[in-house]
Amino acid sequence: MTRALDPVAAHVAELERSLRGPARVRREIVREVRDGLADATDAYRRAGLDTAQAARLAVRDFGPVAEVADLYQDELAAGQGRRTALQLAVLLPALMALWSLLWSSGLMGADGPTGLTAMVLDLVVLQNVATALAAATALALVALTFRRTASPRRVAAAAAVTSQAAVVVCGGSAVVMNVAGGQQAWELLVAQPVSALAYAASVAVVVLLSRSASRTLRALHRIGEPS
Amino acid sequence: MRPDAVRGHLDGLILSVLEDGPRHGYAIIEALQARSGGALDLPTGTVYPALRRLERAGRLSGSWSTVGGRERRTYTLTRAGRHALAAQRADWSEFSSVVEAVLRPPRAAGETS
Repeated sequence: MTRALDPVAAHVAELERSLRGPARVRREIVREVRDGLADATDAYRRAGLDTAQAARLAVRDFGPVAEVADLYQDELAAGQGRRTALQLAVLLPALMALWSLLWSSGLMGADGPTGLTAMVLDLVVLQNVATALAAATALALVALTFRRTASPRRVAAAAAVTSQAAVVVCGGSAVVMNVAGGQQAWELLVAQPVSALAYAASVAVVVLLSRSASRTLRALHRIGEPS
Repeated sequence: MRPDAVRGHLDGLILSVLEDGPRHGYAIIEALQARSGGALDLPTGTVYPALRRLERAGRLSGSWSTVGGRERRTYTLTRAGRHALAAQRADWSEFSSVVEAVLRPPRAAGETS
């Protein structure tokens, strides 16, 4: 029997094409389904059917790919959403802690930041409030991913939106802060090269969180819709 | 039994066939069919995503192992899964006895209990 005519291979290939999400998880899903269909085919063969008939019945019992793929897509979205929420809950507070440690350590000058404008100080408050809100929301969303009653797609969408909003607010205010205090930011970099690490960490966190959020949004794709 | 009627109970049914030991996907499907005497007519494909859902909710733990020369994902009931199963059994027995009490044909008129 050629592969093209094998209904099991065709069914598995269709499922594989339908799913959106992390490659590792998709591979595992496909492997498990392929094994299951092989088991079902074997069972029909043991009952006396020829291979082609056995494979056809195994595929018929399995049901339409679209229905199964949609259920799997819920799980892919939920898994990616949980990851996004966890990253948000850990990375953003860690980044804020790193910056405040840097300011309070005296590395930035014995008296801490001097001559900061009122606007910059307001932005620092805004960042801290946004971080606390985002982290608390993210933790609540992680908890929701363990509840069977919560819609996995809604929780995942909320995680992606919260993460993107936090990135926009914290990242945006950081850019404004550094542009407003441009001279100071430059002096800080020159006087304390260690601060370059903090800037690099900030960029990394923004990139990681945005990437994770957009992966979650992609995993929310509905089977049957063009991607 | 109609697939729609089964769907809402699928999680509980899966937990229940895993109570006496770990099984892989197809063995779970076989156990569901055997225990129902073949009356459980649902697309077998829906069992696999349900296993993932139960794993995400912490009720099952899944791991790959080689069984009978084939690599298989084997599922084990977790402690949370056992609790969920017990809760679902209690809910079901309450629900079914209430529905049964209402559905039972009324006694003939004049008959007292």
